Amino acid sequence: MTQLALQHYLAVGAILFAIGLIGFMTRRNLIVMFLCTELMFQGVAINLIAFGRFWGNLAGQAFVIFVLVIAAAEASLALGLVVLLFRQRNTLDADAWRDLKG
Amino acid sequence: MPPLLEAMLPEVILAAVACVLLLMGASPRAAMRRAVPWIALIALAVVFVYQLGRGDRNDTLSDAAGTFRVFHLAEYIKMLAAGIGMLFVLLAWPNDREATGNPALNFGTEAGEFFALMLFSIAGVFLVAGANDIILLFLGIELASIPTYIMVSISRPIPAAQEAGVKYFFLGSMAAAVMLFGFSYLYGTTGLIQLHEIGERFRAGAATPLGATSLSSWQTLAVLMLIAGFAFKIAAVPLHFYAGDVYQGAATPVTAFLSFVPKTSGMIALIKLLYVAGGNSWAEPVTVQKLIWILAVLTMSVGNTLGLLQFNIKRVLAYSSIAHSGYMLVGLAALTSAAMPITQDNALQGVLFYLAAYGIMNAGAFGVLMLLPARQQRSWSGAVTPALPATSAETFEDIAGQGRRHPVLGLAMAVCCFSLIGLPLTVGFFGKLYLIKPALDGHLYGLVVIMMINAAVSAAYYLKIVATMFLRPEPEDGASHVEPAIPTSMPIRAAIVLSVFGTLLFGTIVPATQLLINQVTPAAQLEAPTSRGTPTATASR
Repeated sequence: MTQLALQHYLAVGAILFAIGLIGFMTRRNLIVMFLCTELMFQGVAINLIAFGRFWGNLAGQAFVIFVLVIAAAEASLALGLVVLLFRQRNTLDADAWRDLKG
Repeated sequence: MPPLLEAMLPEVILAAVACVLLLMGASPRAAMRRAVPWIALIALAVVFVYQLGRGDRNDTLSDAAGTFRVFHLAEYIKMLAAGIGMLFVLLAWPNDREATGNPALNFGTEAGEFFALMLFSIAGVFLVAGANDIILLFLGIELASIPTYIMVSISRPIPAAQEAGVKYFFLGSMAAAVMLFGFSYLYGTTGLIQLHEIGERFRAGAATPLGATSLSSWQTLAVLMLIAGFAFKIAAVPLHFYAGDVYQGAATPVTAFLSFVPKTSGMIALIKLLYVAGGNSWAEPVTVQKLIWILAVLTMSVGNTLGLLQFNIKRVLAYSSIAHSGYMLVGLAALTSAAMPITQDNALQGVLFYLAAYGIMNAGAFGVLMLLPARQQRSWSGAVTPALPATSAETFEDIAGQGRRHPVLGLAMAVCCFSLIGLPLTVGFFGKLYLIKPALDGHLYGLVVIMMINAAVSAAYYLKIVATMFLRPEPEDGASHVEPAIPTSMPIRAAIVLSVFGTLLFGTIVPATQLLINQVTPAAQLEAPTSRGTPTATASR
């Protein structure tokens, strides 16, 4: 077995991102969809950390901290919105919200 | 003044004022709420005047690390966003005694929060314009976007607005993740985070005979994912699908805001990205050139075709907004495929001019819609609309015959629609002219033909709006007789007057147009000429 190299981390990041993207497209529960976007963010975070380690500078890690901040801001917003929607329809199914069509 | 503070002064002003507004929003007193829009308006006016005074500065403001760089492009965008932002504050102005909303918009007692979010979003556009660092660029885009998710959700107390907010938020955060993935590979393949350094690295790797940069496949992947993320912000096809729903569900002033502010941030980010991908020039890899060409054609054609099929005017304007993104992408296509530097400058000037023209003429169209009442009590999926209507004219039935009843409003709508079509004597005509000319100079004849056909198609639905207002009889269902009188909202009227005045002024009086061009001309330089003309001097770091 060889040591873990950059591409292994990148593969994990890309797989997480892909799982998140596929989940976002296929799942209909709002909270699960939100978790899928979080997965995509975490995949990117792994990429950034691995690249930062590879290049030996701190920019990647600094970027990750900001990514986490944005993810936290979006999490608070998402949960607020989800609670708001749940109160109106008593369901978290995204298909229950189809008033807007064109 | 320290250079960083001087460079970021407009952002600092807006963010500080927004924090004050948040505090004022917590006050239970209505007097505080009434003061909120005034303060927001004054803050934007201060920034606008400050930026006007800085128009002919020729130096680059930058901090020591070079994270933030303000040159002509950023100065121009700050002036533009602050000026158009004043129109949006006027459009959203609460006009009841409790200052809890206006007839088209109802933010309850959250006036402080609403206007604070507006200022934050505009500050985000400023950051995007000044960013020279992928982290700051990402943060700027998110700062411009996240407040708009909240603004859509709180804009009306009806389920449709919340549905729109959730859709916008989920798709927006997915687009942000895609964009971030692109950023991570942009960093990963170069080890750099500053935009101009990445550009230098790309240029150093460029050795193709055509002079275009040749990116590695990973770098191309990064650039493509970033273009996808930015295309979501400017609502370019195929990432436009949210626009119709979100624009329809949000209150009309918020819709007007959405059609300009996030779009500007995406467009500026896209311009910066293209500059980097071309190795600090516009010599793009062929893949990117073709992609922009295809995006432009798809965005124009799909936007206009779907615009023809809509019954809701806000949806019509949403698809028209998509189509206008497509016209700007024509300018970017000319920018990336023209070989002559003068053509490239003209193309970028055309895009920046079109941003200003679109901002000016679009605000008026939404303003007229806000002053016309909704006729029927529509039920959104059977749910009874709450007592607070917070709804202005939305469908073609709502505006039928209103042009004869209110000729001035009808004329204002006609002027805005003619300008959106691009008829002469309006600013929209010059906008299209300045986009088509560089595209012709760059030998993109096919693209120009498609754009002209699209402009003709778009005339069908814009003229349908005008014709409905003047020619169609008012519906006889009795509902129109009890319709409320038009609320005499002076700020909304002021916004319409300013918008129509600007549309005509910049469209008919050549010196005024020239004045705007003079603002745009230097903005087409992304960097100071010294670092631009001598690639070897800066590439050696």
